Amino acid sequence: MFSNLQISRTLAKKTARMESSNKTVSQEAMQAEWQEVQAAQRNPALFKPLYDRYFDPIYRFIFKRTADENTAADVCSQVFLKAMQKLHKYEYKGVPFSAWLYRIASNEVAQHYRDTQKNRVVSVEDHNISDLIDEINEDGDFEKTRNKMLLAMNDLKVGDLTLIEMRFFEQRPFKEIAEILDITESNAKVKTYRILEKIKKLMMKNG
Amino acid sequence: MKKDIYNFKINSPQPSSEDIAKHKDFDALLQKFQESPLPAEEELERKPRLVWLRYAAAAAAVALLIFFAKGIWTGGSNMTEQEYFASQPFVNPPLENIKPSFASQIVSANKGGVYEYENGSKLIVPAAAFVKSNGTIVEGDVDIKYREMHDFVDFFLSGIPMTYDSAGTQYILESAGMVEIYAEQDGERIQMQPGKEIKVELISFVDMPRLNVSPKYNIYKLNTSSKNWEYRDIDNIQIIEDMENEGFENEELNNLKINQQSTLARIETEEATLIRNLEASISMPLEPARPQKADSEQLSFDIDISENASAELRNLGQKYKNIIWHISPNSPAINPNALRVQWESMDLNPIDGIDYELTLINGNNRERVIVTPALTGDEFTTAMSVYQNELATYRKALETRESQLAKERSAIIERFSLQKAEAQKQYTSNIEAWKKANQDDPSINQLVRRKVVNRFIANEFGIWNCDRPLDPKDLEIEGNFVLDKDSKISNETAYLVNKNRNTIVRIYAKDGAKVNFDQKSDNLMWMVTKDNQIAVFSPKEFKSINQKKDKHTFNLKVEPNALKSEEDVRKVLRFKEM
Repeated sequence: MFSNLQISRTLAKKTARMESSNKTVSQEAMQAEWQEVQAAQRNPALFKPLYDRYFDPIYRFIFKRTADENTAADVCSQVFLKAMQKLHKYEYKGVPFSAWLYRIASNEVAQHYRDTQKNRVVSVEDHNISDLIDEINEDGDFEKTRNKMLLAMNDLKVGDLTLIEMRFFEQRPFKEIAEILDITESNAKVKTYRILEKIKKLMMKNG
Repeated sequence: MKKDIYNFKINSPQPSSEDIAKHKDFDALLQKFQESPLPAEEELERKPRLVWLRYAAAAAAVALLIFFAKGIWTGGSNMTEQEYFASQPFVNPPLENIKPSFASQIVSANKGGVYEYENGSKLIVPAAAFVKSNGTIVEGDVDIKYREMHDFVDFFLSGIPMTYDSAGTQYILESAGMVEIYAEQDGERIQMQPGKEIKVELISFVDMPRLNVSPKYNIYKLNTSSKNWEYRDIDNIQIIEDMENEGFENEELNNLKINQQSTLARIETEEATLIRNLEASISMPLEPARPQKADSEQLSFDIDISENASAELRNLGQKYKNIIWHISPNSPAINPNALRVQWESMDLNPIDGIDYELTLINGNNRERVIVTPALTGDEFTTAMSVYQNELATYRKALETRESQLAKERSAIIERFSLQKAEAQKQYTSNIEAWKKANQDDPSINQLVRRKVVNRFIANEFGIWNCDRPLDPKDLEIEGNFVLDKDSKISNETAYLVNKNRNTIVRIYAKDGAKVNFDQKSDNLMWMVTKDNQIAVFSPKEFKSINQKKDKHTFNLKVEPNALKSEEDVRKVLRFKEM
C-alpha cells in the first residue's frame, strides 16, 4: 500500500546514473524552443531547425520499436508530417517540445502494428537487462534469468512494457518519461515499481 | 501454447548517425506537407469509442443520450459494474438540486498572499500565479473558489468516485480530506501558470489508533480525462495536539511527548529568528505618501512657511504654493475656543511624512493639533503624477527586495523542515518502541479522533485528495434490491459506507450484484430514487444479514421527507438506529 516509499529506496541507486544524461531540458531552452515553434506555426518552412534537431532521436526511438531501416524511415517521415499538420494546435505548457514528438511517434508505431498485425518489436541489450534483473533482485545464470524475464514480460500490457522500455532499455529519466506519457513524475515512479513487482511475480509463477 | 505478443530483439545493431542522416530530407517533407490535405480531426491519443461516435447514425445518437441519462437503463442488466459506471458521467452528483457551496476569496494576482478559511485551512498563493486561456499572465483581482469535503455525506453529494485503479488493481481510497480549487476573473475561468504552485494546508479530522503519531496518507489529483486518481506525493500530515494528553497518561510516554514538543519549539524559534534577521538585513522601501485633495468642507489652517522652518517644510513650501492644512483624523479634538485666540506663534513639525504636529503658542498656552497638507487644482494633479511614479518605484523596490530574500528564506525553511522531519521520525520510532514493549495494553489500538493539518502542493486547479488506498478483504454476498418491499430495483447505483472507513463505495445495483462489506463494523447503504428521495438499508438491518448464506435481498426503505439541502441529507444518512 505504501510502496511509494519503497520506490525511492529501490530506484535511487540507479537514479544518479540515469539522471546524469542530457535528457532534462532547462526552462530557458524550452522557452527558446517555444519561440522556434511559434515561428514554424506562422511559416512551416521554419520547422526545419526542429526537424534537424529531432530527426535522429525520433528515428532511433522508432527503430528500436521496429528493427527495420525502411519501416523506421517511413514511420519517422509520417511522424514529422503529422507534427507539421498538428503544429498549429501545439501550446507550450512547460514541457519540452520533444515530449510531444515522442508521443506522436509512439502513436504512429502503434498504428503501424495495428495495420500490419505483426508483433511489436522490443529492442533490448544485455547491460540494460542486467539492470532490470538487479532491480528485481534475481540471482542465477544470466542467460536463463534473462529469458525467464523476457517470457514474463510477454504477459505485460503494452502500456506497462512501454514504461519498462523507456526506463530500463532507453535509460530515460522519470521526468522525461512523465512528459512523454503525460503523467506526473511520481505516477511514473509508482507505476514502474508496480510493474517490476508484477514481473517478479510472473517470473515466480512461470518457475 | 501461449502466443508471443512481443518480438524481443536482443543486442541487435543500431543504426549510426550517418545511416540515419540518409533518410533525412526536409525539402521532401515540406513538399509533402504543402500537398497533403489536413488529417481528419482526431485526438493525439486514439480512442476507438470516438471513432464509433463519429460514424453513428442519428438513431444511435439518440440511444447515446438515453445511455448517458440518469435513471434506469432498460437494456443493460448484462453490463458489468465497470461498464455501468463507465456509462455514467465520471463525476456524477446524485442530487441535482443540492449544489456544492464554495468559499470565495478575492486575491491579488499580482501579489498573491496567504488566505485563511474559517476552520483554519489555508491557501498560500504565489505572486503572478495565473494565466488566461491564451497564455497571458493575469493581473488584478481574481476570485479563488475553494471547497472542502470531509466525510461520506460530502463524498456522496459531490459524486466524486473514491476508487483508484493502479496497475490493474482497484483500491478504495480512504480520505483524510478532499478539496476542490478553481479561480475566475470577470466570470471567466483562469488557469495556474505552469511552474507555479499553491501550498495547501487542509485542516481535517482523522480516526486513528490512540498512539498513532504518524498517520500515512498520500496526495492524489483527480484526472477527469483519464478518469482516475493520479498519485502525486506523500501527504505531509501532522497531528495538531488539541487533546494534549490523550493516550499519554503513562509517565514514560508523556516524557517522550514533552521532549518532542520542546524540540519542535526550539527548532521553530530558531527558524523564526533567522527569518526575522534575514528580513531585517534588507530594509523595507519607504512607501510614498499619497497627496490629499483639499476639501472646502473641512476645518483647515492656512500657514505661511517661513525661512526659519525645517528643511522639509521649506522644501514643501517651495514645491507647492497653495497648501492648505486639514485637521488630520489622527488629531486630538480641537478646543473650539482656540479658534478665537490670537496666537503669537506656532510650531510645525513632521511626524511621519503624512501628518504634522502643529503647536499654537500664546504665552504659556499651547494648543496641539495634528494636521495634514492638502493641495488644490493643478498642484494636486502634479503631485498625483509624481506620486504614481514614486509608487511604481516603490513597488519595484518591494519586488527586488522580495526576490533577494526569497531564495535565502526558502533555504532556511527547507533546512528547518528537515530538522523537524528528523525529530518527528525519532519521536515516532520512540513511540513504536514503547508500543512493542507494552503490547498488552488494550488502549494502544483504540480509535480516537484527531485534528490534523494536511500540507501539500497544488500545481493546478481541480480536485485534490489526501488518501490512503485500501484493499479490504470483506465478506462478499450476492444482492438483489427492493424498494419498500414492493418494487424491484435494478440498474441503479447504490452507495455503501463502513462507519470505520472514511470513504464511500458505489455498487452497481442489479440482480446478483456483488456486495462487499465488513460484517464486524456498522454499515449503511442507500440509493437515490427517481423522485430524488433516499431509500436506506440501515446498520441494524446489515447486522441481521445471515452470513452463512451467500445471497441477500436488500429491502431499502424510502425516507419520505424531501431533500432540499445538505442538512436534510445528513438527517437521513446517519449511523443512529432507524
